[in-house]
Amino acid sequence: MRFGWEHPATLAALALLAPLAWLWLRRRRRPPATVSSLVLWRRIARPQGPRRERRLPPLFVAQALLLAAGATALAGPFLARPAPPGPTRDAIVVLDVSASMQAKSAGGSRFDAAREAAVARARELGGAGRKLTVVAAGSEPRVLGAGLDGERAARLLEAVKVDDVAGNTAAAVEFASAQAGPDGTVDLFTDLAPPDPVLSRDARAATTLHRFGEGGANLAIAAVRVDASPFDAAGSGRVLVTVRSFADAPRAVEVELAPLDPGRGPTLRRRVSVPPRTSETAAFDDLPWTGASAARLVGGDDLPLDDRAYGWFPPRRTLRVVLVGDDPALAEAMERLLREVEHTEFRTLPPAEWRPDAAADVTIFDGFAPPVPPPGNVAYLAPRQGNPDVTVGPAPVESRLAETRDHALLRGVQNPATLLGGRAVGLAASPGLQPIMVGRAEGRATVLAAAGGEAGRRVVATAFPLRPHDLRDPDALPSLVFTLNLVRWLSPAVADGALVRTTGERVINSADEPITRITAPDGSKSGLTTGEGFPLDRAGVYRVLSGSRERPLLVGFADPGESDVRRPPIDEQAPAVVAPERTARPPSDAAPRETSTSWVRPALLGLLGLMLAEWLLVVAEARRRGDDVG
Amino acid sequence: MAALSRAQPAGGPRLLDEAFSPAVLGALERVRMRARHASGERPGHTPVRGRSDTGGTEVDRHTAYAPGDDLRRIDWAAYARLGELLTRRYVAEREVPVWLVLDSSASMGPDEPGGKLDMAAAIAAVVGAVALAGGDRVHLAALPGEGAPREAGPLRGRRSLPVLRSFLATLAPQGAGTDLADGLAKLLRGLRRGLVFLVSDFLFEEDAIERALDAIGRGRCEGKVVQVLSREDRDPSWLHDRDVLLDRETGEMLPFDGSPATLARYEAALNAHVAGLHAAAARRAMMASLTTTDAGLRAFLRDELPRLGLRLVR
Repeated sequence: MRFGWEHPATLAALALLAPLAWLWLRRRRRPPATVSSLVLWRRIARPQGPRRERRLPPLFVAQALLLAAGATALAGPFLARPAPPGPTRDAIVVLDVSASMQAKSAGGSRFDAAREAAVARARELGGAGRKLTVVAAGSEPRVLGAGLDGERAARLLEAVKVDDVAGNTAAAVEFASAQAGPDGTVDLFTDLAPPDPVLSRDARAATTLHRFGEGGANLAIAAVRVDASPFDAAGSGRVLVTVRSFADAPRAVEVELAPLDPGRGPTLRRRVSVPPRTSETAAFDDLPWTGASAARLVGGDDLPLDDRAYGWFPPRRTLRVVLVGDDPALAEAMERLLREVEHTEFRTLPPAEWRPDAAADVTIFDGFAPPVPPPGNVAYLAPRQGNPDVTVGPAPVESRLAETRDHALLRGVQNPATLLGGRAVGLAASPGLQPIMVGRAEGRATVLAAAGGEAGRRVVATAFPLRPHDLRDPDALPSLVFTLNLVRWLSPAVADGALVRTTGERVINSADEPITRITAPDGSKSGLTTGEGFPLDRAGVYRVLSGSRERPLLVGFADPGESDVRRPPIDEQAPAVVAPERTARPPSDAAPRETSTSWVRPALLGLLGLMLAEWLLVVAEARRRGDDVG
Repeated sequence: MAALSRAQPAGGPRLLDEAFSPAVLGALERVRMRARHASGERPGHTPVRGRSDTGGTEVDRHTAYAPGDDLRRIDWAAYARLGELLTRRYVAEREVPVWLVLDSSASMGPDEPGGKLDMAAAIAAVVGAVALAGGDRVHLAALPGEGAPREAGPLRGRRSLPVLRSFLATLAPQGAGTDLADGLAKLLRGLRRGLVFLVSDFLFEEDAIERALDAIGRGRCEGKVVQVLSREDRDPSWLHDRDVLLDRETGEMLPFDGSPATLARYEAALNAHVAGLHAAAARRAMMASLTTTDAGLRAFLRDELPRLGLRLVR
C-alpha cells in the first residue's frame, strides 16, 4: 500500500494557517456590556481568578480545517495498493427440471440422462478444486446449494426431481451467469437445443450447454371442458376432451374418460384421429356418473405427463331455493327464470312466515335480513337492516359503479353498472364479506356488493335489488347472468365441488375460496394461513380443507411449450455439448496490477461540509450578537 | 430562531403606536375585563360582588323563608312550582377602579422603540383601552427610579383615550433604586377594592417583589402583574465575548466571565426568578404574565391577555 500526492507543491498553501491564527488570536477590546440589572448576575458571580486565556473559537477551527481541506484537495492525495490476484472462479451447474425433461429417452427419461451427466460434471469440477453452486431450473431458478465441493454437489443433484411445470431455463442461466461473475463458468444440462435458450452475450460467454434428447413425438390432452351445471337435467352434461398432436405424422389415439372412483360408473372411450400438429376433440355425452373424473390417452407417446387430465362433473341433485320477500313480481320473475333450470325447486315466503329452519339450500332475502341468519347459504338483496351476516350503513346514497373485483358472481356480467338502481341501501363493511362491486358517492367509496363466507357457508349481500322486469327480459343480460351466478355460487354442490387447476398455478387461502390445509398427491400436508399461497408443482389429485369440508383438488398439466418435446438430432450442426462463446481473456502472467484510490473527492466533499459548518457558525455568531441575519 | 427573526428592531415603529392603531383598538372592542368576583358581561358592567344584600338588584341565591323576611322578596313562582316559600337574596354591586401602574425606572430602558418601557406602555394602553371601553374608572401611574410618581386620572370612557396615550407616550426610563413597594403603598393608600395592573421587569430582589405585591393586596385589591423582559435579558449569549457588565440603572460594573457555564447559570437563575415571581403572585391569588419585547404586541394580545382575565366576548 502506498500513499502519495499528485501535486505536493500545493501543500504550501497550508502556510496560510499561521496568519489566520494570528488574526484570531489578536484580542479585541470590547466595551462593558450594559444589562438591565446586576441583581441576577451578582447572584451567580464567582470569585474571579486570573482571566482565562482566550480559546480559539470554533469558527477559527472551521476556517483552519477549510483551508487545510482545500490545500489537501488541490494536492491530489491518493492511496495505491496492489490489485487482488482475481476473483475466485465459481462453477455453477444448472439442471433443467421442467416438464419436458420427463420425455422418454433411451432407457429412461431425458432428465435421468441429464442428471447423470450433471453429477459426473460436478465431480469433475470439484476434483479441479472448484467450488460449486447447484441451481434447479424450474418455473423459476432454485439454488439448491452454494460453495459446495464436488461430492456434496453430486449428492444434491442425485436428489433432484423433475417438476410437472413449465420451465424458464433462460432465467436460470442468466441468474447463474450473474452469480458466476466474469471468470466463472456455467454448465447447463437441458433438453433444449440451440438457439434455445435465448441468452445474453455475457451468459453465452459463460455457459456450456449439455443437450439431452432428440426426436420426439407426443400427444397431449390440451383441455377438458365440462358443459354441466347443477341446473342441468340428469344425463344432459357434456364433456369435451381436446387432444393436441405435437407429432409430425398423423396419429390415432383412444381417449378414455372414467370416474376417479371406479365404483361410480363405467369407463367411456372415444377414438380420435389427429392430423400432424393440430387438435381434435373427443365428445362424451350423457355421462352416467358425476363427480371427479379423469381423461386419459391410451397408448404410449414420449411424454406421459400430459396424457392425463381431470374434470369435475357437478352432482345432479335438486337445488332448493327460497325467496323471502313481499314483492310478488320478483317472486314470479324468479320462478319463471328458475323454472327453466331443471332440478331446481323454487318457493316464495313472506318475511313473516319465514323461519330459520325452513328447508332450503339457498335462501334469498329481498329487502329483508332476519335477526338470526339461516344456517345455509344466503343472499341479501338491498336489506333494510343488518344482522350478523351483513351490516347496513346509514341512509342510502346514490352510488356510481367505480370498480369490480374478479369473482365468480360477476363472471360473464358484461355491464355491471346496469345492475344498479331501484331502492338501494348503504352497505357497510361486514366481517367475513369482501367487496366485489365498489361504488363511489360524494367522493367516498361505497360497497355495492360483497361476498364471502366461513366454514363452508356462503353469503352474498347487494346494495341494490333485483328488478323483476329485468329477469323477464332476455335483453337484460347482466341481471339474468348475475342472478344465475348468484344461485350457482350459492349452490352447495358448487361450494362442495372439486377445484380444478393446472400445474404452475398457486392455490391461495382467500376469502373467496378459503383453503386452510392442502394434502399433496404424495401425502404430504401443508397448512395455509390467510392470504398464503401453495405452488402446484405436481400433477395429480390433491385434497384441500375448505372450511370444515374436505374437497378434491384436481391438478392437471397443460402447457403446449413443454408438451412439444421434438428436438433436432444430435449431430455436428447441433452437437451434444455447445461450448461457451468465450472472448479473449487477459494474459494471466501480466505484471501485478496496482489499483489507485483517489482521495480528491472525499477531500472536496469535506471542503463543502466545512464551508457549510463555517456558514452555520457565522450565523450562530451573528444571532448571539443580536444581528439580524435575515 | 423564528421568534428572534420576528423581533421588533430597535428604531422601528413604537409598540405604543401599534397599541393605538385602529386595528388593535378595533380588536379590543370585543375584549372584556373580568375581575375575579365580577358578575357582568355587558359593557360598563364590571362590578365586584360584595356581601349578599337584600338591597341589591341582582339575584344571588334563594334561601328558605324565615319569619321577618320581606314578603316582597318571596319567589311566588318557585312556590307555585315547588310548594316551598323561598326568599330571593340579592347581591350588591360596587364599581371597581382599575389602576395601571408602570415601572419606569432606568432598568426598563433603553428608551427606544421596541424597548421594555415601550412594551410596558403598549400593554398599559391595551388594558386601559379595554377598561375605558368597558366603562371602568382608570387611574394611571408611573413609578420612576427616583422622585415622585407621575399620576393621571381618573379617566372614563373612550373619550379619555387621548389622555391615556399622551401620558404613556411621555414616559421615559429614569432613576436608580427602584422600590416599587414604597411607591405602590403611597399610590394605593386608602384604596378599597380595585384592579391593579403592575407592569415591570421585576429584576430586583425577591423581598422587594414580595413587598410590592403585599402593597397591592393590602387594600383587598385584585392584582395582576405583567413582567416584561427584553431579548437581552432572556438570552445572555450575546455576552459571550464580554469581560465587564454595566448596570443600566445604578451604573455599577461587575467583572464577568462569559463562559458557557456562566451563561447557563444566569439562564437558570433568571428562570428561578421568574418562577419565584409567579409563585409569589399565586400565593396572593394574583394573575401573572410574562412577555418579551421580541415577541411583539400581537403575541401578547393573543397569548397573555387571556391570562390576565381579559377575554374575548362574542
